[in-house]
Amino acid sequence: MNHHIQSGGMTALLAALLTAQWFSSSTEGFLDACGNAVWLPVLVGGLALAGLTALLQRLAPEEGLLNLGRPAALCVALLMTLVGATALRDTLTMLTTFLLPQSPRWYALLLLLPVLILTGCLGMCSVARPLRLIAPALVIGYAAVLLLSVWSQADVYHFFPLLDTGLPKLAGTAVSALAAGVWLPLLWIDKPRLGRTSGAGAVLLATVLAAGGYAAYALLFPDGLVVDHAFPLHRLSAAGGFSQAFQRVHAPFAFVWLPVQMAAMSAALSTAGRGLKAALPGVKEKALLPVPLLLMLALGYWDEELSPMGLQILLQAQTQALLLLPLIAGMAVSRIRALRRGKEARHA
Amino acid sequence: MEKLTPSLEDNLRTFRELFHAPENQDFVVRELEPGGVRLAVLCIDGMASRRNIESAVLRPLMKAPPFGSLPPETRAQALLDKVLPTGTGETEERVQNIAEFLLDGNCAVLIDGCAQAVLAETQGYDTRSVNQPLIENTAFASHEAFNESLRTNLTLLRRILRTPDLVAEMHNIGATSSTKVALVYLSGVTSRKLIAECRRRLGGIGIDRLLSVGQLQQLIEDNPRQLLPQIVQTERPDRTASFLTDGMAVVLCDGAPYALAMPGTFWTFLHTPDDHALRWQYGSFLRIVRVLGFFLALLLPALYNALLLYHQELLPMDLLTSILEGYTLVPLSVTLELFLMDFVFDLINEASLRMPGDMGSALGIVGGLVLGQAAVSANLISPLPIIIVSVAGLGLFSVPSYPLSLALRIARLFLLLASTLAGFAGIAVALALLLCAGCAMESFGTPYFAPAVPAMRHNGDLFWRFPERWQQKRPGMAHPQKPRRTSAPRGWEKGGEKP
Repeated sequence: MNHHIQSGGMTALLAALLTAQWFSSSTEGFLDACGNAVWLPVLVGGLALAGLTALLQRLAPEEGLLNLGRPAALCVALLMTLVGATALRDTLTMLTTFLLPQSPRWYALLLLLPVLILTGCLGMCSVARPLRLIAPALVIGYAAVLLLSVWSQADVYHFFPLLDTGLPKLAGTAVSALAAGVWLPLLWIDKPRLGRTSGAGAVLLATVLAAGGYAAYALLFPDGLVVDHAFPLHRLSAAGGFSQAFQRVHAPFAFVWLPVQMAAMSAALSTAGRGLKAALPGVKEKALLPVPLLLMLALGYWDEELSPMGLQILLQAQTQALLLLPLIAGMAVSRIRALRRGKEARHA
Repeated sequence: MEKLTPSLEDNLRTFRELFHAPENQDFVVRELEPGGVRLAVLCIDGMASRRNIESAVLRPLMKAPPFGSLPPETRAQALLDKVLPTGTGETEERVQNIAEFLLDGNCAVLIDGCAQAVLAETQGYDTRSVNQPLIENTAFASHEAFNESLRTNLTLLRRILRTPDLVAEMHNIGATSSTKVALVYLSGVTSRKLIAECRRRLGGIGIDRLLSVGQLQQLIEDNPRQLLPQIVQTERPDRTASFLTDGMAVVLCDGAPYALAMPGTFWTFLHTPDDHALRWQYGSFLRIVRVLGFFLALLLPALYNALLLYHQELLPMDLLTSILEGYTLVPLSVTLELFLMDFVFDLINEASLRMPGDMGSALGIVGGLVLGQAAVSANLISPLPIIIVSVAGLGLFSVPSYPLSLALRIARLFLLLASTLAGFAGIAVALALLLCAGCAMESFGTPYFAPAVPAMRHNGDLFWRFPERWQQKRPGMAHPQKPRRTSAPRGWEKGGEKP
């Protein structure tokens, strides 16, 4: 059973994370500068995502990221735990805000816990494979509900309240959807060699979802009478991007989307467990799985408003971006070594 | 292993002890002395045919020329060569092997002075004739089904696949029952790794008795704790042959009218022989209907429950009003109603399955129509849950695999419970659990949702049944040795010979 994120899958994921980090720190200024040229942020974001995927793919070591050494493994473990915690926090917020408004936060967490534990224990296959089934279902369901909603004029206010008016806001939505693409490379985790397809595919799907979301908005709320529950864009992080995007663009699909988020969190968890194993040799793999799980639950449980400043900083996109730097350095070193070895082999 | 001795008395004593004679009156010993040599014919009454024994063993022995002058050690071979018209043409000296041969319904001839027995095939027990399938009915495909005889079942397969590459390896499973099990595969097509794995698993079964193919299935499957079936069980020879040509391995078990095909993936449980017997458009259409039925059976009660409990705003006002009006006089909650209806549906289903023939269908009508109508009239249940559970039930019946439909019934209850706890979110979490668990499963080294997830080579026969001419490749799930099935399904279009 494939328990490890393959090198290609991991690099594509990292590329998407980096793109989202960049947007998270510059979205508002960039979007303001773009004005009504909605296509510009979408294009730039898409190109950045695809380009970074291609670049990291070239850097990726054949043997996988976790084998780069202890520092890299520890970075992966920490990064995935933080990403998982951010995703958990946003998921809990979304659940308690929209789907289970009268339930306490711990109830929503209790609901998610079986999936987290099961997928964490079963490994990457249980995470990566469902995504490939869910993604098409999501798109089909998206189109179907959209059509039905428009046709029946159903009051879907509670599921469609999150778009704001105006083209600049559409750009914001599009950027959110692009960030949603962060997790889509997980679809290809089963493949040993991912290539550039994942980045391009993620961009394409995210763009389609963004455009569809705007169309839905325009059809359902032509007068723009929508209460803005939108979260500020600066919260848009790699992990949160997905939930943010879905809240903004196609909240009716929370039903279909929820398993994706769960699976993504489990991916973070199981990878973190394996990363810790590489970081702390001599410890059994399964014994380490609860460590990132508990850490993620501890960090991600609290609402943003209630959590202390230190925790907020820890879960911010910039902290996660910092953890990526040693990884990229490790990948570059590994690549240079591989090139050298190849040269020596040719010489011999 | 104990062997025969030259003494007939000693050998008879050994066999009488082994078969607990004279208490065991099924063990028959017929002693005779043709040609001046003492012989004993051993058989199990009922398993061996008396007529066969008389015509193929006793009568030739009585008419045998004197062979007392022959050296004792050559007498068995002489009988075999000149007297007994047996099919096997074998002699045997090991007691255990002779006993197994007798238990198969054959007979053995022991000869005084000779430490070898002559084996003669005289099987004559009754078996059920080849009938129509009971569960896997089809409109246009073959109407033959397996029966309980392993030999007949293998013959049915060989009649369809007339190739010397069809191999049937025999195994005996069960310390007491010693049930014959055949591992069947197409040499050169089925992956060697798969065959070796099947052999390993069959060889590693250590049980007392093997009574059914379902029991065998549980002993060799990968994930016994999982809900979903992992090995395809079929009663149809044509479907089994199709699995074999796809590169899968098949296990047949004596006494069971079913074959097990492995590796089993999720999609194979949704396919039927009619998909290929009909034109591709019709086959594809029926397959889509079945898939929709699958989802209706799984999700409809849970979705209805979640909508009414948590997400009423998603329903159009007219529909919501009409539904709520139906509940004004009903004392039960929506969830309780659905659980109750589901239970009653399962009860009727189970009862009609146990009732013989026409009574079963009568029971279904009584249960479904009369009981439902009465419950609505008495204001015990509102009409809509009856419609919901009935439609979900129809979806359940459209699933061609009975084990999968049973798994669906259980999963449906799980989803209903989850929707009661947390509406759509609960359904999503429960689905995620089921899907993640299913995706982590493997059957004989093949991921359960292959070739869709992970993506594998397949032959256009998955969700959609593409035309035959596009199915030149075998499905890749079983990793067949020869990936290509044929090169020109409609070769005549490319300038074949014209009259």
